[in-house]
Amino acid sequence: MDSIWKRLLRLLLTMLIVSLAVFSFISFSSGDSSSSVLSEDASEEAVEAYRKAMGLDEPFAVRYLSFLSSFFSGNWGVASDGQDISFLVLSRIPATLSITILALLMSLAIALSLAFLSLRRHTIGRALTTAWAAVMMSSPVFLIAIALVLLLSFQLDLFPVAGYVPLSGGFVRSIRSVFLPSLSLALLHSSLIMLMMRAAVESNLSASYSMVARAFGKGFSRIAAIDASKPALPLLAILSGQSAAAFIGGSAAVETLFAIPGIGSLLVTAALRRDAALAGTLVMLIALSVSCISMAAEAVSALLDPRRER
Amino acid sequence: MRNKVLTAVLAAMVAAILLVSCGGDEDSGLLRVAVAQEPVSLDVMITSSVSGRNIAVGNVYERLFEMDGDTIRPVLATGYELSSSGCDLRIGIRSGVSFHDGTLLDPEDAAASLNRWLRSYKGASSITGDASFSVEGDGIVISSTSSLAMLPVMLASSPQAAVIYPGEAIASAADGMPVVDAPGTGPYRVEEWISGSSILLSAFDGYWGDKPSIDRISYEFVPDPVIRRLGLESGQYDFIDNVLSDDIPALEKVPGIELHQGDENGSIVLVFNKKEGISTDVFFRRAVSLLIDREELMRACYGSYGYSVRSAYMDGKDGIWSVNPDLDPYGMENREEGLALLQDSYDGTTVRILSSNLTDLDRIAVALSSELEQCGINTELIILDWASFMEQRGNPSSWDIYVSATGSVPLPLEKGYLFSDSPGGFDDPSSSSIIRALSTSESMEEAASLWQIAQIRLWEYVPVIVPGHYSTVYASRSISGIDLSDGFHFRDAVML
Repeated sequence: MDSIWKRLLRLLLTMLIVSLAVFSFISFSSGDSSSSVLSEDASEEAVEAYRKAMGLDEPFAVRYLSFLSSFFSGNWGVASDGQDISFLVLSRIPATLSITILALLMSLAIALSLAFLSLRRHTIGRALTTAWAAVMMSSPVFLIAIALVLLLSFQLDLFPVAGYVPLSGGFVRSIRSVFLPSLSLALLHSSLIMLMMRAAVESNLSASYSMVARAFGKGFSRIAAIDASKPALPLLAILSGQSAAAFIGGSAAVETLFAIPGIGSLLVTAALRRDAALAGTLVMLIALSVSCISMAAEAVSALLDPRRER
Repeated sequence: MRNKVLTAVLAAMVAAILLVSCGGDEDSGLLRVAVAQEPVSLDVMITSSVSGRNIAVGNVYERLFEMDGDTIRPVLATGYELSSSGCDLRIGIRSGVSFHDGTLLDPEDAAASLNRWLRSYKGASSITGDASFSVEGDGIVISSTSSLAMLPVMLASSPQAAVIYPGEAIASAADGMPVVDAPGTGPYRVEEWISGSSILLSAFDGYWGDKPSIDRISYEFVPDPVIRRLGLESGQYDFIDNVLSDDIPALEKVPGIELHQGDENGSIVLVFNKKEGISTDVFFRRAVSLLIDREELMRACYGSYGYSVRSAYMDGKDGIWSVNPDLDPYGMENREEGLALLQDSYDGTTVRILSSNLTDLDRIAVALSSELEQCGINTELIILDWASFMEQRGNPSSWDIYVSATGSVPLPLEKGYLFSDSPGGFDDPSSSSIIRALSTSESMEEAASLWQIAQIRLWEYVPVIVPGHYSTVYASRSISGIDLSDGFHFRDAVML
């Protein structure tokens, strides 16, 4: 029970620290949202009225406290363009969730397949998967994305080049629209998961219980899939949690490239428009989601390996 | 084990193939347009973003007048009458026009909208002063102490568009904030705006004028030029904007794709700081004007297409405002004369060149810096994002020349850099008095002849250098009748 309160306190502190950091960074950067929203030739009267309506003429502390009060009361106020922040954020969540779930499933499918296919040392498969992982991890995600578009959209005409179809536009169309962005992220993240899972399973294969299993006549594949993999599942849970957390807030480049309306691209837009309230709200929500995912991953990991709880 | 993994991989591949084969797009009757930028707001009265204007003006919201070449054509107005003194303007408002929510347009809506526009737009107040519109019968009137002859032109084509919203929408918006979701009177209504993704317009059945032949237009925000091009070539998009110069030769060879170059959309300006520092010296400004290679500056940003090198401030080579560029004594590269002027005016201080990274303007700043360095001028480049750039240029002690782009405007007095309160300042009494006279001209002809004099004087004063004018290049497939004056519009377009 104590641990839950400590975690909640830590979560609250994290949210406050990140929001304060982002709010300060945007507020003290040169320029404000009037230059993004209003015309270059706007009258002084219009600029002053806008700044007053947005509270930009208030001191920093007043603005930050007002933001915190709005956030915790659930009334998040309006963004620099006059739109309701809660509407903007809620409209972006489905795309981010779709990409996160699909990219995570793809990452696991790719990583686990390649890890098991390359378990045996000194094989061509192992050399190829290791090289593949090195290439994927060192490639910028936009390069992987462009290569996928060229191959799967332009040459083979299998998926749309860009754009997002919400679930209300049909399940298949929606999944197709996020397939390439998810695959781009999955290729990047699967490499790390593959290497770490392979190393863990390999290490377990040389453990004494694997040797005993082999002495009892179990085949290599069976030992690898069951006896050596089971102890690696807590690691898999942690790695999955880390990847999911990264997809939630860190996929702005992919979202921008594929014109997907997600949380990451909204955060970039908010920063460029000097919209401190919107950016602050987004980082609070991202911090909350990342913390929740981490806690869930740790809980699953502890469930799979009770020694971790001690 | 290995077999199981292979089976799983095969199953995943089959699922992917099924996914691909099931996903037929239901896009019949829909025009898909890929645009580079999402508008910040559709309140085109307070923003002047080109992306917002292309989507909203004429489609969703309409002005009282619009320009048809050099002629003013009534849209929501029935016409206008100017008193013999030119100081009183009456505009008749069309009856029987419905907003998208079914309410009828009345003169109160027009007066409320235009008064908000007058308060928001600096260019308008240079003509009207403190005057405002009021309702009179079935029209609206405005009276000023000086001539309002230029006002109808401004109403027809100002970058901050003088469109008409319902009076209630203006009253309900917080003072100073953009109007959100206001119904318009145009042939299309906004069916859906998915923030960060697209805006879908659908034809408005109750439109008062000729109905467009295209039922729905989806403007999709695709910032990456490579993705826009691939989308056009693969048939996902019917029209794309901002085609890269490097892509033009390849796209010209693709069957079924048509390239379009619109009217001049605006000009590049190198604005001198006339408040502080080295640029306050007119001889230094003239020297820079003679030393730079304008073609190279424009090429740095636009490549081989989509611009013209001409030092006249107004866009359009043959319009009413055109002035013979040969009359610009500092408008062509003349290294020897430039170096001579530089010797007398330059003391070795570092010239700070400020620019934003918006739409590749920083490339022009880099080219300018390189050219000036080659002439022996020490330079420092300051490249910032747009918001920081706007803040920095307001501080005259932090820059000497800033590089920017100005959109096309219908009247010279809408050029922001000609105002004394502009970031670069303006302290030439001779030019100022001509521009003041121009703003109160009694006819367009009189204004145009005054501009001839003003432009020549401005070339001597060199408040800015205009190295050239740009025109956006677009590409389309299977559409005809696109209107490319002042952006791109599909009201008269037909999908083939």
